[in-house]
Amino acid sequence: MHESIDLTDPQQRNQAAGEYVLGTLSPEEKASFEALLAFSPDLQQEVQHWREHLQSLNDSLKPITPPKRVWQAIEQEIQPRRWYESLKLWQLTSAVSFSFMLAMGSVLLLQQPTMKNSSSDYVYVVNSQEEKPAWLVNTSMDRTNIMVQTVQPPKLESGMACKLWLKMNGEYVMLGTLPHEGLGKYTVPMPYRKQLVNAEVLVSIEPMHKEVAPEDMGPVVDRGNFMPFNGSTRRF
Amino acid sequence: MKATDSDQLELKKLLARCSEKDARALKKLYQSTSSHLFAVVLRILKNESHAEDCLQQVFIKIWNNAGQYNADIAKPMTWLSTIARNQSLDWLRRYKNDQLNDGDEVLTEMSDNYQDTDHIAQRWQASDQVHHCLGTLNKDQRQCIELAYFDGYSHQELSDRLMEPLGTVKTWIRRGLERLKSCMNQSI
Repeated sequence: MHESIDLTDPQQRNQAAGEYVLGTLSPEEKASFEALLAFSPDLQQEVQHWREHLQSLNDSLKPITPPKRVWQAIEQEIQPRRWYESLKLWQLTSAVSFSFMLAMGSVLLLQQPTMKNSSSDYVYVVNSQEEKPAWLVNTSMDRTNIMVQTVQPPKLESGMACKLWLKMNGEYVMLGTLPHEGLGKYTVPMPYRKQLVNAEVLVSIEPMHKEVAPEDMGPVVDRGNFMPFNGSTRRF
Repeated sequence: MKATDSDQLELKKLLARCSEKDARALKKLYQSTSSHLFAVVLRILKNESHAEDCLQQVFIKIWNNAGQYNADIAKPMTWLSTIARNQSLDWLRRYKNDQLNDGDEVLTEMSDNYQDTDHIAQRWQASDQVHHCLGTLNKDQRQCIELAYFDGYSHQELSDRLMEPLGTVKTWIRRGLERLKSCMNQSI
């Protein structure tokens, strides 16, 4: 039932160009077509004409404005240095590594036990622009809370703060402002607890005392996923 | 038609400036085209969160490859849309086994919620020619072509989904493409 396309026939070749752009050529047909395409300016032009014809499908869609955060993320990616300079965010210090070790030690060993040990919990390290640890984010054993240990927080412009977000199943939820020092504790809303360890952690820069909706989220300075932390003796 | 030509010219200039790493040009390009490209990405991925991430990658790709745009070969909006569609279809294949779709209601809701669309995209979308030519396709032809174009369906997948013989599906596509081409050529 399989009929191969005769690429020497102008009509079939043009039809193949349309199906090439549409994406319905079989892998074999596509390979033959691309072999010819590489050498044939005429065929390249036919493909381009088909792209213009099928562009009508794109043009028929109703435009939808993306949320502001998409542009903010793009801007940050193409101009990381300029963004860094304009916000004057992160503090460089030679003692960061030492602080990190110290904080890790205090988190893991020195706090008073209030819960039983567990063989595995989940951690995310929020890094500064210089890839230095700024905060340690931990899930509580029962996933009802998130604990944050300050390591080396960034210096921000007056009135600005780092906010902690979770992204789960495409939804964003803001947990609160990250602490300037010591420990912070954040309650995880009930619907997010079950899947908490699969959530993406985001940190954005926002005005200190302003409630921010996800669509108005400011520049995201770090994001990533929790990692299982085996053998933890952390106690919250 | 005049307005569209000037829009195309403006986009060409912006792409040229992007190739020289002019970030302000990318911002303008984004303001002019993002709602149109987001509609393409969202139509393919049907998931708002993935569509946002994908759109971000689309514009990074545009930024990195603007120098490869050739105004003699392609209209700027077609070139931009091709990047958006290819990136989205790649994304779709990569996450095929994940539960990607929020469902068609996402598209409807977003269309209702986001009214603040950019002017160029609105003019494109409102083009009579576009609606006229797509309107020359019958229901089966249009459905097959849209499923292949936006959802990456192969002939066999279309045949399975529509529960029609493979030959019938191939004929719908072939005749649909012929009609579309004929209409678009007449409109030029």
